[in-house]
Amino acid sequence: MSVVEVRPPVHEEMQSASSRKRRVLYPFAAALALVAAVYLQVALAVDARLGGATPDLVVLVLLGIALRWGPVGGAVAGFAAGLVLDLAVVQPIGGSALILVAVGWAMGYLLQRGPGGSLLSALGVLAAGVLLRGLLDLAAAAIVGTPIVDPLTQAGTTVVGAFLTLIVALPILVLVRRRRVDPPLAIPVAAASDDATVELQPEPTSGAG
Amino acid sequence: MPTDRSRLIRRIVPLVLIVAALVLITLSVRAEAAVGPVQRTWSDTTLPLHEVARRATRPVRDAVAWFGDLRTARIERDRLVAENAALRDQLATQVLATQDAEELRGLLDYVRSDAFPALGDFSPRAARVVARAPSAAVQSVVIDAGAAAGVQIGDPVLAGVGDSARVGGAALVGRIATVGDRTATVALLSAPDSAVGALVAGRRGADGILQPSAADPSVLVMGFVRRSSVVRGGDRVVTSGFLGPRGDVASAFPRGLPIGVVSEARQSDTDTYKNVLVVPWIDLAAFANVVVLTREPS
Repeated sequence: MSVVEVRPPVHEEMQSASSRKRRVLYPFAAALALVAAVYLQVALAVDARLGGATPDLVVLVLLGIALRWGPVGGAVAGFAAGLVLDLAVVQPIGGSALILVAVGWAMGYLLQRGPGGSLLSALGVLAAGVLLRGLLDLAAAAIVGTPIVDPLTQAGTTVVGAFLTLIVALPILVLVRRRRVDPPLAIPVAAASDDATVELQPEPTSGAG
Repeated sequence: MPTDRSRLIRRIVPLVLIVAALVLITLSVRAEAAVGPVQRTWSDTTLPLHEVARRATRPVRDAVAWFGDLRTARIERDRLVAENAALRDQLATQVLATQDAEELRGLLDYVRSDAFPALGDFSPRAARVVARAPSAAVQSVVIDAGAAAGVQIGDPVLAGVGDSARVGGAALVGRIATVGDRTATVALLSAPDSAVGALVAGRRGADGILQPSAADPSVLVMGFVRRSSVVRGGDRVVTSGFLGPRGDVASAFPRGLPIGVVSEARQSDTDTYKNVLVVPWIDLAAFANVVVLTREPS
């Protein structure tokens, strides 16, 4: 009886090719998701408000980006999202970017320092992000001198918005957690090692005794 | 493990982005002429994106609009139900007020007209019945005119007869028993202590004292009517307005006020007087507006 050693073919090369693809694909997908979130949110804000608020899809996407790339990624994505938002609604460029930089960075920071990658902590950070954005919007309006109806009403709207965002986020986060596949080659190994070997028993020949 | 370089990047990048955002804000505000066209071009170019986003969010927007319309419809419905109830009350009140006003006007017009017996020193004042005791044992009502309107104890009180063509628009229902500043109590003809000097119109000598019947509160009995007088059913009964021979005793009621109609005249062989049963023109349990004949000028 002989033991046949089988190595997964070109494992390392495939892994690095796949990781290169991920390095290009994921940021591209994140950028697309960010632009889509901006335009969807602008469309919802036209005539689909509940209690004066809409779910904050931009902050939801920033959460995903911050989960993947930490506070720096969150800040960069926030800046980009803010620019796109200001261009989409034709308002002075930079205002939303300033607010979303802070929100993206804060969420990334909280996720890193927080109790770990549980669903509850992600939802908590998301709610904190939406509330922070609402607070910064109010502060910016107060600094610039934009007349707002009533700070309390605005605060109430922000809370409703956070609640709606959590409702939208919950099924998405649950789905994302279930579909996570890491690493891409799911070869069962006895020990965590790149030099994985698998022992196979040959088939018995006829007449062997 | 995070290296020094990565720590530096983590600190610098957010600061750089914040500064960049502030620069952009400043440029947007101060160099609007340069930035404006860029924004407008972007807006025109990304119009299809807006369209796609609107279509993609249409189910959500329709659902929100449906719930919003439902809520608005509910609020509107509740508001209209409340308004409807208020308007119905208002209408009922208006109808009643119009009815009362017409009745009062008719009463006053009649009392002031030539068809009504001469009032002499009396002046008519209109009033409404505001309270009536539910008990049949209490034969009085409260009206909304008192001393401030010139009402005095003993003043005759009339109510509308309505569409009785033979009598006209008013008949006696009682007299003022007590007076407050703004209200007064009317003791009805059916009150136990009521007594009115009356006569049968057109029948010589057929006069007597009208009092309530002990057996039937809807009927009055005119007693002390001479046996020799002739009284028939259907004869009209009015106030006699009697005056004593020396002028020291006088009826509280002016002469000629309609009271009711004779239903029956009873007399036995041994009775000294005739008893005449009189049905009042006015249903004493059902009138709502009155005219008080006061002695003060209107």
